[in-house]
Amino acid sequence: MPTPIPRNHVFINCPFDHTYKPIFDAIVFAVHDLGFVARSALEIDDGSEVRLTKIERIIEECRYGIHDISNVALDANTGLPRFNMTLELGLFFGCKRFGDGRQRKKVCIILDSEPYRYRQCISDIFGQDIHSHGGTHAQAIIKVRNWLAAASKPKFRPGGTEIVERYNRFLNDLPALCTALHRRPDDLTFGDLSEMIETWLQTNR
Amino acid sequence: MAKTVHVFPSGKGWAVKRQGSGNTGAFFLTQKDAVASARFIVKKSASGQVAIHGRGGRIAAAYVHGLPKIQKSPVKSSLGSRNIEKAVSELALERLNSA
Repeated sequence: MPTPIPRNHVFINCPFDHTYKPIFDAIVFAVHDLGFVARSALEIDDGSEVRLTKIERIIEECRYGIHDISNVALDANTGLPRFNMTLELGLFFGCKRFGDGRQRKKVCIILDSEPYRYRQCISDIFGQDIHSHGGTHAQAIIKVRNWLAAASKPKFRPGGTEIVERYNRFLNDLPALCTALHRRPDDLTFGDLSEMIETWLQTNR
Repeated sequence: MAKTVHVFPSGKGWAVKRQGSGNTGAFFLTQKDAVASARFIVKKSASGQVAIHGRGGRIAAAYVHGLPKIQKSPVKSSLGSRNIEKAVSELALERLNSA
C-alpha cells in the first residue's frame, strides 16, 4: 500500500539569493502560522543523495506548492537566466499530471514580482493560479494566506494582515533569539529558521 | 490583544498571564490548576492558545482554540530544540515580567 502524502506539507520553490530572502522567510513563517509545514530544497544536507532525486522526493511528499518565478531574469554576472525554479515547477506539474491518485490532488500557486510578466517568458502556464507580490514580503504573505486558506479545508486560518503583524513581531525578536543561540541571523539554515518559527509561534500568537 | 495565555513558574507556584494584558495575572499552587485556569480563559475568547513554560525552559503548547495547531517540521535545527525553546521561553518571560 503506498505511503500517504502528508496533508499539510507545502513545497516552497523560490529563489535562494540574498535579495529574495525577506520574501522567502516571510512565506516560511506564513505557512507555519497557517498550521502547515514548509519544505524546501534548502533542507537537503545529505551528500549521499543526488540533488535532483532529493528535490523529487520533497515534491512527492508535498500536497501544496508555492512557486515563485520572479528570478527568471538574466543574471548580472553570468548573463544567463536561472532555470531551477521553472524546472521544479515543471516537476510539480508533472507529478500532478502523471502521478497516482494521491499526486493528482496536488495544488499550487505561482508568484511573480510583476503581473503578467510570465507571459513573456513562460506563456504556457497561462490559466494557472498566478499572483504578483510586487516584491514585498507583506503582499507575499497575504497572497499565500488567501490561496492556502482557500485550497485547504477551513480550519480557523488567521487573516493575512494578522500574519503580517505577527511576522513583524518575530523579526523584532529574531536578533535577541540569535544572540541567545550564538548565531548570526544571516547564518540561520532553513532548519534553524523553521524550528525557531514553530517554537516562537507556540508562545507568541 | 495577544492570543497566548502563558503558564509559568512563579515563586513556589505557577502564574497565569496573558501578554500585554496589563494586570498581574493569577497565581496557583499547582501547574495543573494553573493550566486549567489558562484553558478556561482561552476557551472564553474567540481564539487563543495556552503555552506552558517548564522550569527548565521547555515549552509545551497545552491547548489551542480557534487557531490552527502549529505543526512540527521533519527538518530539525542544528541549534537543538531545547536551546531554541529556552531562548524563546526566556524572551517571552522577560516580556511578561516587565509588563
